[in-house]
Formats: sequence, C-alpha cells, structure tokens
Amino acid sequence: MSGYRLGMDVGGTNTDAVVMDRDMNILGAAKYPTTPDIATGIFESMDRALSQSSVAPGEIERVMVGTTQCLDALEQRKRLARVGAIRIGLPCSAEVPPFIDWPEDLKAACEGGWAVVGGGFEYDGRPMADLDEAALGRALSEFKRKGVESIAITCVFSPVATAHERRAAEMVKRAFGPDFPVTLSHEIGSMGLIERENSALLNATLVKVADLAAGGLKRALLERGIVASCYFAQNDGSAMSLSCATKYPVLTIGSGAANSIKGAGFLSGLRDCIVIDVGGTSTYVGVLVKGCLRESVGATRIAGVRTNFRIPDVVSLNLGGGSVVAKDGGRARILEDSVGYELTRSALAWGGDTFTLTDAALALGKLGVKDPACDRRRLDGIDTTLCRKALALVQKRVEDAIELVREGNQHAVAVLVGGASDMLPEYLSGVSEVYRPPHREYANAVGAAIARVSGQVDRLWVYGESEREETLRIVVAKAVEQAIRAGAAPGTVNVAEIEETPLSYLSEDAVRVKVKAWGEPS
Amino acid sequence: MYVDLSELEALRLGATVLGSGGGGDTYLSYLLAREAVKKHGPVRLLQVHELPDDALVIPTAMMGSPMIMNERVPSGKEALTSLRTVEKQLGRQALATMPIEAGGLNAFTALTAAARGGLPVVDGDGMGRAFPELQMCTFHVYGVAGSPVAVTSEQGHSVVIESAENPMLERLARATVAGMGGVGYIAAYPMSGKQVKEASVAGTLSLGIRIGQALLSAERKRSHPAGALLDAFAQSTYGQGMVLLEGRVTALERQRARRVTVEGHESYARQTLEVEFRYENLIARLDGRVVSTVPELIVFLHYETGMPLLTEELRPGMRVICLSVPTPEITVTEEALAVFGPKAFGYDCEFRSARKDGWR
Repeated sequence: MSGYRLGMDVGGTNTDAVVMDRDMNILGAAKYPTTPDIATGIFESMDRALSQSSVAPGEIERVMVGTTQCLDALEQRKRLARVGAIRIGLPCSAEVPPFIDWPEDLKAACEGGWAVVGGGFEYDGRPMADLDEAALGRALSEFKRKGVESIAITCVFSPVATAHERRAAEMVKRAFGPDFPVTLSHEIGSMGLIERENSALLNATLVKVADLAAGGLKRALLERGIVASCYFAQNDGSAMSLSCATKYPVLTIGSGAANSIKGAGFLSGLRDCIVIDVGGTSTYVGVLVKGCLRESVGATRIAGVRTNFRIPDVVSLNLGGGSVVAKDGGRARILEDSVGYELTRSALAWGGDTFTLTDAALALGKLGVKDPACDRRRLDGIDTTLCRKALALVQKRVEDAIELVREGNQHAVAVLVGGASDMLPEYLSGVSEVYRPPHREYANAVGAAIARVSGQVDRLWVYGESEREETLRIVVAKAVEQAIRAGAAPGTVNVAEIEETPLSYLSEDAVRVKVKAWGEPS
Repeated sequence: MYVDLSELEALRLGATVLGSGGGGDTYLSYLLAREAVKKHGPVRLLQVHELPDDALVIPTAMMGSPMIMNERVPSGKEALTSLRTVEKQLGRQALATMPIEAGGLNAFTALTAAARGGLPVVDGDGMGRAFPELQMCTFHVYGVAGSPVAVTSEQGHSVVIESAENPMLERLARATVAGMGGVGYIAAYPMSGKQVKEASVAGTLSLGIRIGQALLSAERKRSHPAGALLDAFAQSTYGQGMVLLEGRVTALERQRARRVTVEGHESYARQTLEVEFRYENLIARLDGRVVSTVPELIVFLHYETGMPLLTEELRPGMRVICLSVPTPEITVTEEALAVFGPKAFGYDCEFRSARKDGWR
C-alpha cells in the first residue's frame, strides 16, 4: 500500500495534475492547456506531475478527477444524447408535460419524445395506481422508432417508493438491450416532480459526454500503466467511482467549484474562509464554513433548466485570465468572451493579437508565467492605464461577489487560488486579509485528490415520536450503504449530517429526512 | 381588465409577497395557470363593485401540503370540478370564482379554474395574504357560511362536506385532504355578490400583479425593490408600509421555535430583528420589542435580487430586507383579529402595526 494518489482537473482552459502521498504532501504538480481531444492534455500534465514526483505510474493507487466537461456540453448544447422521457403518474400532471419551461434550443438539441403513463405512489408509499405497462410498452416502441439514445424515467413519489421506476427500467432494458442508458429519477433528485424529472433528463442527455470523458481517461491511464481505482468528483465535493460517474454525470456539474473551494481550504489550512478561484474562463467566489461547502437552497437553474439538486453555493463570474479586454472611449471593458485554452496562441504576450486580462496583469508585473513561449517584451508600449483600469474592474466585480457570499457581519480571510488569481490586489474590501497559499494554481486538482466518498438519502417519512429513532436508524443505514456503493471503504463511513424538516400545511407527522454519510475511497 | 401571460408572470412575485413568507412556492401553480391561459385565453378580472348583488360566486383553493402538490402535480381541472360540484349542490350556476387566499400559490388556483371553466375571476379574496386554515378568512369573520365545501383529488375523487360551523368544515376538509394523500382542491364559501362586497378583501389579485410589476421594473432599472414595493402598497387599501431592517440572517431555528434572527447593517447597524414564523411570518420583534404582528404582512426580500423569499428559502448568511405592510381595515377589526390575530396563533400579545403604532 503506497497510498499515492493522482488528482486531476480538466477545466475549460487548463488540465491540472497533482501527485500526493498518503499524508497528503504534494509531490508533483503540473498544468497543460486542455486539448480538444481531452486525452492529450491529460497525458501531458499527468506525465509532468509524475516525473516531478518521481513516483512510478504503477505506484498510483487512486486517481481522482474533476471536470467541467458535462457543464460545458450543456451550456454549448453539444454532444448531447437524444432523450426519451417517461413520466409515471397519470392522472396527475397531464397538463405540465416533460421538458416544460426548457430553453427552446436545449430542447431542440436533446428532446426525443415523451410519454406520461398511469402509476405512481402516495407520500406514505402506498400505490396511487398500478403501473400502466401497456401504455409504457407503446411509448417505448415509439421511442425506438424515433431512435432515442437514452431514457429518463420519473415516477410520482419515487423518492419514497421506487418500484414503478424499477419496473419501467426493466421494460426499457428488455426493449432496448441491457446496456441501454436509463436514468431513474430517484437516484438523482429529491422531492418535486418537475425539478427531479428535469435533473433526470439532464442526466440522461449527458451519458454520451460522460462516456467520452471516462473512456478517454481510462485509455490514458491504461497506456501509462496506471492500474488505480478511479473516481470522479461530484457537486458536493465528494468523489464517486468511475462507473457511478458514467451513470450519474449530472452529479459532476458543480464539481469544478466544489473542488476549488475544498482545495483552497486544504492548501490554506483554514476551515472558515472565502475562496476566490480565478481560472482562465471563469471566476468562482464561494465560502467554506466549518470545513464544509455551503450548498445552494431551493431551485437551481442549470443551463436554463429548473432542477432541485444541491450544488455549491458560489457566485460565478464570467471573468478569467483569458477574458478579452477592450477599450471603450477612455474606459476599459471586459468582454464576455474568453480565449479559453487558446490563451497560449491568442494572447499578446504569446505573440497573438488578443488583449487579455493575463496580458494586462503581465504588463503590470502582477503575474509571473513560466511558459518560455510567453514573452513580456511583446507587451512593451502597451497602454498601462488601460491595464490598471481593467484590473480595477476585476477587483470591483470580485468584491461585489464577496459581499454576496460572505456569512454574518464578520470579515473572513479570503484565500486566492487559480492560475490567474495573482492579478487580484493585496487588499480586498469585505475580507480581513488576503492569503495566497503555495500550490494555489493547482487548487482544483488538489480538491479532487483529497475528496472522500459520500452517500445521501433524502426522503419523506411518516413517523410519530415513538418511531423516530427506528426511522432515523434505517435512513442512516441507507446513507451508509449508498456511500459504500459509491466506492467508500466500508469501515471508514461516518454520518456527517441529519436534517429533519416537518412538512408544512399537513396534519400528519410527515417529515423530510436528509442524511449524508462520508467515507474514504476504497 | 384581463389576466394574460405577462400578468401571470408578475403575479408570481406579487402573490409571494402577499404570502408573507408562506403560502407555498408559486412555480408549479403558475405553470398550471399559464398552460390554462395559453389554451383557453386570458381571464377576465371582475371588480367587486361590478358584481350584481344576487350573483353567485364560488371561491376556490388548493388545500394541503405544497411539497406534496409539487410531487403529485395536479392536472389543473380539480378546483373547477369542485366548483361544479358545489353548483350542483346548490342547483345554481356560478357567475364567477375567486381566490380564498391571494397570497402564495393559491392566487393561481382560482385563475386556473376560471380559465378552464370560461369564468371570470373576482378581483379579491378572503385573506388578503396567506393563512393556514380555512376559517381564517374574512368570509368566515363576516358571517358567510363555508358550506357546502367540495374537495377533489387529482384522481378525480370528490367529497362534499356540509356543516353549519366553519371551524368544523376546516377540520373535516383537512381530514379529507389527508385521506386524499395530502393535497385536495376545494370550492367553499359560495356567496352572493352582496356578500362578496361585505366580506372580502377587494382588489388583491390586481394588487398582486402591480406589486410584481413594480418588483420586475425595479429589477430592470436596478432601483431599490423595497421602495417600489412600498409605493405599490401605498396606492392601495393596504396603505403605507415600512422597512423594518436591512441586514444579514445570523440565526435560523426551524425545529421547535421557528425563528429567524437578522442583524442590521449600515443605517440599521446594531439593531436586531427577530421574526417568528409557523408557515407564514407572524411576529416581528425589533431589539426585543414587538413591532408588527399578523395579520400585517412581514415580508423578506432578498437583498441582492429584490425578490421575495419564502421562510423555507431563508438561510444563515443571506442578506435581506424585512418589510412590514399594514393590511386593509377589514382584516384588523376586533372580530377579524379574534380569528387571525396573534392570539389565534397562540401568541400572548396584542396586534401591533409597525406603522400605526408609531414605534419609530
């Protein structure tokens, strides 16, 4: 048991890799521009980090990866699978069909038809109606005719009773083959039919991207002789096994932000802080509270779709080292565009013709870049007043974001991470101190590397005071089981939080119980 | 005046404000109303004074847990079925429906029923806000019989309840709703045009629309949302409300006490506001002194977006603006306060109005 682990972050601009030992010392770290084929960027950064660490590929035991590939695919409406939606619950819900209220272009890129059939449950788990298998069979034939590539199944109250979703999945497998991708809503989202269905549909449309990313990673590791167990980072900052990640890709959507916040916490040694991660294309401002990520509350829109799963509560700014700077009269403007992974071709300091924030920071001596292809002399004669104005804009937008996320009226320490974070000044309003930890440009990969594995149960239960303890015991056991299924080593799993919320405007003792368990990767 | 798609969108916000922290998330009921209006056309809004004295009006509402409703998404025809059932009981056709509760998701229940039934909707309701029980309404306070009440489930099961006592109707209807799985759609308090004029809070739907429009326009112009909202109320029968505090949520207890604590900042620095809630916000204490109580609206706006917040959306660290808005005269008479004043919610304190009691 060497205990070496490799943490990777495949971002929009850079692919980062860190090698850590069992005591979480960083032995090697490297960065390489993300390549369109993903795999080259992985190879290049991985090889560099490994050779720095002098750890042999065969000694790596765990590989933990964070990626924004799924989020990017949704935002760009690219590489999406055509999804058939099955909703079980008639006569409920007929007037608000699947894909309702979706952005038209996203719907056009992934909708493959829908059907609402009879079935579903009451909140206490009693069946509301039998599953209408005949109608379901007809819908499946129609999907087959239309050539759908993935199917999402959502049943009324499936977070309480899963039988109808499972039965429908069996029918899909029989009709489409055992390997056909099926998403069951109860495995993804919590209470709220429309929001849970939307989450399941988003997941179903991401299976192709997830397969590509996972396949590329597996090939890359195999080629280098790495036989480690492999994990993907998810929204809450925990990791799940590669096989889980290809099944539930939508759960990786917030992992970029989660990894940078956790990585910043680890690198700074702080349990309470504000984290500012300035990357190439975007900036995240988030908080760590008592060592935990703060999660979003209520409905969250992802790529314009209303969902209800929890993602890290961060303010994300369309702003990064690759953002394009323009002159607007006497003022500086930062455009929405970023040159992304083409920074090393397009930016002025690399001989390109695009004036980026990185150029502005370089010209003012705020940023040091090790890349030999980057030459500061190319920036001689640049308008430094404009550069200063551009960086002042960045500072202002970051300070506004700090105001939005900080807790209480106390000022906390801001931890600056990310490759372009050095362009921010020594003093920021709203924080007591600015801290730049070593290895800060690799915070995301570090956040992935240190991830633990989690399991979560979020269900409705009906119980009186006398059955409370017994119920909680069952829910806790289920959460532990989930964590183990996601790849946690059985002996290491602990319950982190139990949340009980009584249902409003209801006379019976219905309580929503949420339990989360954490463990070390096995 | 007609309620069309843009009015529905504005009402989503306005109804949440009137919900005073409760009344349920409006998204789904808004979607149902939107689909109904798309299919059947805009809904005519009848002013209370336009109603003939002998017209029959049958109010409609959803009853039960909004969370269960969000799971067992209704088809949208349930409330209309209940209305038709009450018509059958009475042997008369309704001229219009109206909300029992204009605060929260129920602002849309009556609009959906109206759109689907080709009926106008009366611009008014029985609460002027959101309340948790069926008899907590001006209809009951001013002598309208709730009976017969029809309750319909999504599966089309219907129950008719008759009783001369309105609180008993609440108990029986609540039990029926539990039997139906936690949510039911009701028609109740059938009344004449004359009774509507005497016993309802007039103008609440159009007020909800105006409040929503004011918030949306403040958002577009990046002007202060609280000011826009208070102006909209000031020009209505509600009157001039006020900002109690701007600050940050520092503590939140949801289990037993159900209380949120906000520490003021900037011009409100060193002041502490505590708001007790059950489903709706009920009591506001500023530095330990009760300054505003139910039925006054106690409303939290999200500081950054200006959007109204449900109590379940509050969380520590959030920046908020807390407002108190008086409610119309008809909701604060002695008879009304006996039914839905602070004592009706188990608080041992008198009704207080932030504005009228001149605490600042």
